[in-house]
Amino acid sequence: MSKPVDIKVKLGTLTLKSPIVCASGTFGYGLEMKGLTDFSRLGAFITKTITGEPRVGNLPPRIIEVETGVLNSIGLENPGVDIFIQDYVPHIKKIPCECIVSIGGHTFEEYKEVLKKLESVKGIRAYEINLSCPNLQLKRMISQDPHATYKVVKTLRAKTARPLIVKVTGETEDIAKIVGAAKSGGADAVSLVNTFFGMAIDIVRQKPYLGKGYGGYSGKGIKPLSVYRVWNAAQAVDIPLIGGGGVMNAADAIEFFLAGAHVVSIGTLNFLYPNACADITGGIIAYMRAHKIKKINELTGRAHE
Amino acid sequence: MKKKTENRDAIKHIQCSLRTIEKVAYQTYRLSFVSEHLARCARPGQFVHVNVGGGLSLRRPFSIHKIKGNEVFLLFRVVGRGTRRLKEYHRGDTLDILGPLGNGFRFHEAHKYSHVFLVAGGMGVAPLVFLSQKIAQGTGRSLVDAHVCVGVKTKKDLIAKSDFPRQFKIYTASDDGTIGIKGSVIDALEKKLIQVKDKNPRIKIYACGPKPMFAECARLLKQYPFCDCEVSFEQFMGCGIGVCLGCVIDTHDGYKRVCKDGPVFDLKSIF
Ligand SMILES: Cc1cc2nc3c(=O)[nH]c(=O)nc-3n(C[C@H](O)[C@H](O)[C@H](O)COP(=O)(O)OP(=O)(O)OC[C@H]3O[C@@H](n4cnc5c(N)ncnc54)[C@H](O)[C@@H]3O)c2cc1C
Ligand SMILES: Cc1cc2nc3c(=O)[nH]c(=O)nc-3n(C[C@H](O)[C@H](O)[C@H](O)COP(=O)(O)O)c2cc1C
Ligand code: FES
Repeated sequence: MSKPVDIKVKLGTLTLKSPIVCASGTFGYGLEMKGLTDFSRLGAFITKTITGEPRVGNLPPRIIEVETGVLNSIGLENPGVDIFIQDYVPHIKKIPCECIVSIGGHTFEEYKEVLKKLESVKGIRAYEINLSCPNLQLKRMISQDPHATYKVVKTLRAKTARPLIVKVTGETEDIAKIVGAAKSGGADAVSLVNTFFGMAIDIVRQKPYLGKGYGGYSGKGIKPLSVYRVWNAAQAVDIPLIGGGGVMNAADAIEFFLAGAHVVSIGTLNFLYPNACADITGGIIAYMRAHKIKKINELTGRAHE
Repeated sequence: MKKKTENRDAIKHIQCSLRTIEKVAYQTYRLSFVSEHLARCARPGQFVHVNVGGGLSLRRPFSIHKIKGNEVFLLFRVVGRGTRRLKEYHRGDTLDILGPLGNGFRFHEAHKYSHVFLVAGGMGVAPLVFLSQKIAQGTGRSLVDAHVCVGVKTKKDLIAKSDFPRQFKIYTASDDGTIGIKGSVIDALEKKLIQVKDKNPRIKIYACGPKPMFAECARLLKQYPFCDCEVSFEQFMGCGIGVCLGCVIDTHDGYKRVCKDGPVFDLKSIF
């Protein structure tokens, strides 16, 4: 019998049974994954980002494979918070896994409004605040601006006791400043990174593939960019980090732990392997046994030592 | 009882052993594998999402071409990296498949019509063979007058003709006139519509092919209002199971997911 290893992690008051979570937008609202994913081995899943009003999303085509990953321009299509609460939450509650709801908005007020409505709903264990939406007032993403990041997080912190995870973009001059601002605002954890901007052009039609032209670049090609940002964030703050961006297997996930992540998120890989998170959890346990690591925390940040 | 049907229809992630693969035309291959689950549950117009390996990041969608016992066939054309890999598969190799996916054609309705036309442009022939099998099974009494119109570039591209059940009369059109009428598959279809239009017909068209063909179908629908038409659409896909919202197309009712709400749509809901 091999010795049990402890892979539980804490994000604020929330304890996850596994340090592997599904990234927002790659798992829907969990419902379609029934029968394809072993929820019992998943730390949590993060919903597709929910906004105040329904969003129709961007012009198709919206997703295309490139040599080193995937470009997408979904455009935050979602049914809006009211329909989410009415039609989706009752089903989500039956899923045997923690659910973290991702909140988005194009204005500061929208974040507040969505959070306020979700506060009265039971069964939601934590929020991930997606600060990578284009903000109409700032004319860029909130997580590209430390002051705006601080402001939003502080406002939302005052309105909820549930764990607040702040998701930031990697497309910023100084990631340390941004995660520092999130921490000062009262974040329980920071999630990084979101997709990077990218484009691919069809040389036959001589037009971009994506309907919107550009999109978010995810998948294996962004892994070195993501690991580096997680590394920098780990040096800047001592709150837990959800690291991810380009994880394709357990070895990739372990890199993120070594760089300083407490939890690792799996995004694009879910499309190829709907049970990827469970498999990667298995791979991490095997690695911990091989390296005589009893607790997953011992792995976090080890490469900095 | 209800639970049982749900399980029967369930999307499964399965590993299947490849049984046959052969080249059937220029850059075109047919492969088969054994899957009891798909053979039992799949409906015509549904597709499978195949992980072809080789470090590719996304699966590739292929219609279910036909089913024979427990053997499931796909018909595909080599157009890029994924299909180039797929053609290198050999007997005994394992295929990693998600399926069955999507809604499928409403084939049970075929018998309500006086005539049924299956209209295939190029590789669009793939799902229509399975559809013709199901229609033939359901209409043993030959209630319907059944036809297939196939459009190809040139004679050598004509495939799967012998796969259509005997009840189906086949008309071909080729761009260069090397087989059938010279012209498009829509020309072939229109010719038939003109022949029957005074007989007070109720016609069902099931179509699959490139997008310009659907626009032409839409034109025919306006001109010959006694026709209903279902079409199978293609779009670039991510997950294939409805979670990523990557595969939408624009309909009169807003964006719809090809992988979950489709791939089969009522043509009138699009054009
Ligand atoms: C529901 C459905 C059923 C299909 N059935 C068949 C079939 O039976 N036989 C067949 O030959 N082809 C079929 N196709 C098209 C087939 O999926 C593409 O030809 C294939 O994905 C091309 O992959 P590639 O890697 O060779 O090409 P690449 O061009 O290298 O692919 C790059 C990316 O674009 C996507 N892509 C490229 N062309 C298409 C396309 N026409 N539709 C959707 N995505 C595309 C690929 O999936 C991949 O993500 C179907 C498509 C859909 C949506
Ligand atoms: C199709 C798609 C949709 C996404 N939608 C969202 C979203 O709604 N909210 C969000 O915060 N991130 C979204 N993301 C970003 C992922 O959550 C993740 O941060 C990113 O893809 C990098 O990780 P990966 O390389 O493992 O995919 C999306 C990514 C993809 C590919
Ligand atoms: S491919 Fe993901 S929703 Fe259709």
